[in-house]
Amino acid sequence: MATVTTPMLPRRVHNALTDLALVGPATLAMLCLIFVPAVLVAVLSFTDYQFGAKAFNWIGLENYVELFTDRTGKRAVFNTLYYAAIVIPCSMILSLLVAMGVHQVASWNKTCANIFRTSFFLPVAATLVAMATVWEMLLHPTLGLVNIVLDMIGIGGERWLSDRKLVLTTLAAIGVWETVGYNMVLFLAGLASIPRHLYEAAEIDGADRGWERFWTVTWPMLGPTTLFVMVITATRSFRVFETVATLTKGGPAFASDTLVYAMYREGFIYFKAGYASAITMVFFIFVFALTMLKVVVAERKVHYR
Amino acid sequence: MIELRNIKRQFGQTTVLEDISLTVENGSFTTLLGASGSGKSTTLRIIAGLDTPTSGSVMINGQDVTQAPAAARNIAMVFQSYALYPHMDVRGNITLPLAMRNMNRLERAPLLNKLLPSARQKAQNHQEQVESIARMLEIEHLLARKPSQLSGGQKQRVAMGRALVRDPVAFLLDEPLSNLDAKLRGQMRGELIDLHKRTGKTFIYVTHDQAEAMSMSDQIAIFMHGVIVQKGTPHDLYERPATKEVAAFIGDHPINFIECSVEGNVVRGPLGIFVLDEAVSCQNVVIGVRPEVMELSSETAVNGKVERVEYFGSKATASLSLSNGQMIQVVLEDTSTLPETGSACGLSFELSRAHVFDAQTGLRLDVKVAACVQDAAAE
Ligand SMILES: Nc1ncnc2c1ncn2[C@@H]1O[C@H](COP(=O)(O)OP(=O)(O)OP(=O)(O)O)[C@@H](O)[C@H]1O
Ligand SMILES: [Mg+2]
Repeated sequence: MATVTTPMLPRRVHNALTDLALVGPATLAMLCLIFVPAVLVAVLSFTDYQFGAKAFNWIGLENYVELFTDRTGKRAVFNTLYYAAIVIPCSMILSLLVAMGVHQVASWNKTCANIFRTSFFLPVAATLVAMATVWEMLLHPTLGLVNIVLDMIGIGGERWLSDRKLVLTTLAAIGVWETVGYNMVLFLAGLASIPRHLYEAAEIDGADRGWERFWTVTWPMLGPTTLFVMVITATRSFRVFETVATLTKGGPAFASDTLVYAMYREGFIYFKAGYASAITMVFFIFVFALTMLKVVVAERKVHYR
Repeated sequence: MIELRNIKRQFGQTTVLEDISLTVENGSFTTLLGASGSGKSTTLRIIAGLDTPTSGSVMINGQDVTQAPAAARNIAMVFQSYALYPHMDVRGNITLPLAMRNMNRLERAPLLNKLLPSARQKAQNHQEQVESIARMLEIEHLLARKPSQLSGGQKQRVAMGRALVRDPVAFLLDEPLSNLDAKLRGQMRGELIDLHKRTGKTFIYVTHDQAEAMSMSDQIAIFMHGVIVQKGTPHDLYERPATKEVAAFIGDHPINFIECSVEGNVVRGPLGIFVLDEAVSCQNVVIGVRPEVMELSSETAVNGKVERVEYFGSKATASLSLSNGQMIQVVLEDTSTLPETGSACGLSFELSRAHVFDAQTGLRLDVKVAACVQDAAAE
């Protein structure tokens, strides 16, 4: 009779050890590099710690209270939401339209479609800081091309970046310009993956004109893509920073102050680590909520299971 | 009546359909049969209006619809992949064609349709129609499911339901059974025949499975490389194949082709010397004999060696090698005594059911094998 050699460890333990050896290092690195700092930030947000200080005091929720009651704090939160409220819908609608246009063009001329695609994608590929300089020149109140053109057609120019009422909208417009290309590429991929047969079935069923086609096939089939684009755009607009830092520095008079810029200012200019941590936590909660929304909605609704 | 007149379809430089002409009578079951890539789906799409021919015209009941869009032709189609809308439940899928045809945009709008009395009335009406179709196809219990929760056979029924619900001029079916397993395929085949009888509608059916085509159709058009090589009833195709290729394509068992030389009306080949009822002018002919009209016989001289016997229960097939090395298949109806592998056998066949083709062109010659003068081994 053949004898089966008993392993030194029971099979289950052996497997568990193997698994641990495989996932262990990555998990450890993640713990050290992401989880621990996150917890530290969370802890700091309840203190009045300043960089370089030897001691700190526990001050409970005071940092949060300040953020949501202090005028500058409230401004930053409001501005961020306002910015996102413009960028998310505008960028999504615009990029969907552009994607459908390019997709349409691609069906009769590939080269033409590629040129469109590349030019819309350019802002994504270029460094935003460099692009911001270009925008600064374009939007200059007296020398900028935008106002010169507006003057020529008889509409008075604006002080795009220094008017308190206008500055945030201007930044949002730049934000839309910046995200449309990326979203368009995502939508294009989504459009390309819609089975041709569905359009044909719709055509036979009588949904053959643009509007019916869109509502019967295109829009529902883009569900997963749309959700993904929305989450990506929202995350990107919540953490708007480069344009603010290079074009307005949060000004004039905090009119374009946003969460991440405030975090940077408080943390790295005023060294108020505790307060900056609180801002970070609020930002984190926004993004986390979005991710949860994606998970919950995505699994239920858009994959049609 | 659906008519295709000299349809030609080119994609760039490649010609996919070359001069297709076909008449489909109202209420008939017509099958487009052919190997993969022969242009069946392209033809079907041209009939449906999903594609336009490069030249030629499509007529429906005497009207030229070549340039008409699909929706204007009132033709229903079942796709090979079913093409159900994944975001709608079964009820929604079957209702959609009705809603698209009978309701205006206002009546279809998501919230408004609950308020408009006309929309409510129509929706009610549609629900009744959908339910009666669902009952007929036995998918009532699936109405609330999404397509992703259905099996292949159930999806197929839903796709049929979507086609049936709106009383179209004709049903086009593009290999609707090819994704099903063999048993379900047999069952659905029967149901399709019943459905055709019950509705009395025109069915145009695409398949590459000759058994499906033979068992269901009133008319079969055989596609090869973008041309229809033969059209006719299943009986015609089986008994009078127009070319060697058709003879090879039709039939459950691959036909045996025997190359022979010919002088006047005398044919010499590995199975012996035969006389044709008329003289032919070509030098070589191919005699096609179906395995099911051949017999192992003890009366003729020995001319084959049994290489392999396959037993299927109701019948068996034997593969024999002739003296020149060619393999011949024979269907054995009597399975009580099977020949031994390796044993030598005589072969005979029903002379009147052999087909004679020109060896060069592959075309059928209108002659019959009249008599066997001498069998091979006696030569
Ligand atoms: N849009 C197209 N562009 C170029 N060639 C095409 C196009 N559609 C079909 N063809 C070609 O036309 C030929 C016939 O295609 P078709 O789909 O009609 O074949 P089929 O008989 O339905 O085959 P199958 O049984 O595989 O479905 C194929 O060689 C195919 O490559
Ligand atoms: Mg096909």
